[in-house]
Amino acid sequence: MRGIDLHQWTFDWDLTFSALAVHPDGTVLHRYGGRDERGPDHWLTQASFQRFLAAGLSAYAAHAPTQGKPLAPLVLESVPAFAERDRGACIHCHSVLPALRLEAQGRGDWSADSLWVYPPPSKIGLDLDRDHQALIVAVAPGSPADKAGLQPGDLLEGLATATDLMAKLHDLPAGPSTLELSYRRPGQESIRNAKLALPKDWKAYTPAEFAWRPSKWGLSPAPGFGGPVLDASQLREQALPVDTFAFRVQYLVTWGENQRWGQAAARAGIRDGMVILGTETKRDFQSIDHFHAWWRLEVEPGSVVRVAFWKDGEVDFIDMNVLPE
Amino acid sequence: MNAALLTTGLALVGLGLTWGQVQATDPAPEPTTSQTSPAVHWRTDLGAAIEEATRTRRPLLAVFR
Repeated sequence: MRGIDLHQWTFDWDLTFSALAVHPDGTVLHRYGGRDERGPDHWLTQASFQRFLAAGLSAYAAHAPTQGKPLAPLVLESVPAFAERDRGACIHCHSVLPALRLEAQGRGDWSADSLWVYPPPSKIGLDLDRDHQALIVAVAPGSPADKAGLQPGDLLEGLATATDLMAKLHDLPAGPSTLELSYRRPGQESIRNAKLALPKDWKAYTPAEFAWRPSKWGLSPAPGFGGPVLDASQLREQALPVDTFAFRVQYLVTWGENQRWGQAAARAGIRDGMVILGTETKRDFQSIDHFHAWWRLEVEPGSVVRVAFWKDGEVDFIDMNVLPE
Repeated sequence: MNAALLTTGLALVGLGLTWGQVQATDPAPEPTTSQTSPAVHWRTDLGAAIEEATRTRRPLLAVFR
């Protein structure tokens, strides 16, 4: 991302793949490549990519060129929070959000709502077909989409991909909002409009939804330790049920700019090789990423977390005093 | 996402698109002649792709990976 204007090339910078179809006047016509907690390839299919390309060409033909006043270019290497760490190496996309967050925190104008970037369609109660991403395949009961009358089989107008929808959601405020979506119902010619009433905190990700994001690593508080999840044979060796979430501590972060977290964990008694099950009150983690996201999003600075670990065939606990901010 | 899918995408953009691709990791191999068509102008320099799209008034497909 070195030299790339972040005001022009805006997309979910946590992604591993992103494509933009752009008019020569700079207008982004359609977007491709979003993801959610189901995996990096969930929205990436040959059929959907073909549809995205075709939609890009159609939108290009229909677009009336504009000459809006562009924002002044913003390159990441000019952002002080990044520049002070810049060693001149390749800048990965996922470096952008943490740097912009640090910069905003330094200015004092950052809020947690800034974390909720490019919300997945599930945040408004929709799921879309993987190949035909304007086609609604599921509507969650009681969700904003359900209350607005959207149904499986409805075809969203003006959107070619799930990423197009995520970009639309990204631009909405995190508080109560109204989203208007145009759609066609099967067997009917006319275009309908759905008005979705989005409630307070509609955008907020759960830890499980946020877990895949590489930008979570810079958030605090952090546990300061981690390791690989035990597989089925390792769980058997420990006499743990096969569906148990457990990971073996392989590292404590006792070096670098985040060493305070690992040092706090070490002081509390966390050690290499320990088998961690979660906490006294939460064990249903889906992955080690989920554990790390949960700690960063849900644990309060200055609180005490009772870390649960497996010892000699029994659950035991370590009280960890979480550092204040 | 694998190179095969990108190749398919390249074949489909033989309709007048200009490519620009930015890679955050190792550079991809240059496309072979079988992967391009006369209507597709492959660039690994986003700036050059933008300049060409602006000059020719053709749409730009920007891929970040």
